[in-house]
Amino acid sequence: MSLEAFQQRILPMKDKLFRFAFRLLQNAQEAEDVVQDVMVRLWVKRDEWGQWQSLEGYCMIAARNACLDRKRRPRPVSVREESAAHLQSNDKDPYEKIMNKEAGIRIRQCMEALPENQRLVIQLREIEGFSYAEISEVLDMSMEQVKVNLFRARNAMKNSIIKGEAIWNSKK
Amino acid sequence: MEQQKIMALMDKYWLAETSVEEEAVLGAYFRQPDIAPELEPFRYLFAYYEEESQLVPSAALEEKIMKIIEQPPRRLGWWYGAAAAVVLGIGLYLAYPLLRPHGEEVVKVPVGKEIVVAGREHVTDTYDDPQEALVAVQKALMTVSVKIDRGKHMTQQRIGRLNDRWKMAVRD
Repeated sequence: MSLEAFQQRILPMKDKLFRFAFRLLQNAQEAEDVVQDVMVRLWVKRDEWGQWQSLEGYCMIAARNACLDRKRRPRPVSVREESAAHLQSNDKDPYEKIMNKEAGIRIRQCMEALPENQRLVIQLREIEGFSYAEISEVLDMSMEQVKVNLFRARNAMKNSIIKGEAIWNSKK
Repeated sequence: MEQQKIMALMDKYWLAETSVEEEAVLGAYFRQPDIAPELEPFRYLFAYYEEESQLVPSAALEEKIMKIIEQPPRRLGWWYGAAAAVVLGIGLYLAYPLLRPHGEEVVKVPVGKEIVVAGREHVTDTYDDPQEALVAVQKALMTVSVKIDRGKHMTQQRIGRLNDRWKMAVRD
């Protein structure tokens, strides 16, 4: 396999891998290190590419395993910066803009409070658009478990939004 | 009509029964400026997912990956040459008594006794029977060969670990 093939087929996956690793590690530098390791390992094994059903699946699984290995080691505690989400909003009312920021923070907090499996299923489904079969392969869980985790995660987010909305409305 | 369709999709969505395509329809709906008031709070949820899907690693990551991949592979051939030279040297040393050219004065002495041949060297002859001596040399060479193989294997492992550490150092 040539360098050109690597640049065209493998390198474009780095963004998706990074987001996945970042979701697991909550640290941008560590997430980048994982992506680098996975990509270099894939290059070393370039003669085996034809044997794998899905290169993307292989990369995601390798990234997950690398992240889990890192989490087992003692790591410095990193705090993800709570930045105001740039939400799609056409609201002109400044009152509504504050509400957007509050809603964004609430959603982010809810996401980070989800159990890891639910968080990862949300990441792969809502953000990366993976099918249940693909999620099942990457996370090593049955399709039924994928569905159950997605159901629970979506409803946790829904309840968080409804609760926030109720609180917001009571302040008006 | 579309409103009814969207409400039906939302019901399916919370049950984790929508397809990837149906979720794309919902995503597009929530990007519109005017949506059903009861669905307005969930706009932020879909906006959050879209925002997260745009997270990317630093530009330096791709450069680091390509720098490692474009390094020429380390050549290990000289290790094998060195090991072969050592084996040859030890083999010649041990087999020298058998390889002595004919015509040299050989003085037979009782086993274990030192002799002086032509005033030049001291020779300690340990075997009386050449056949026994040959078997002993073969055993000695086999022992050396096993040790060299083990050493070669350990060296390969260490080289592999050194390579990994070197890659980590280059990456850092």
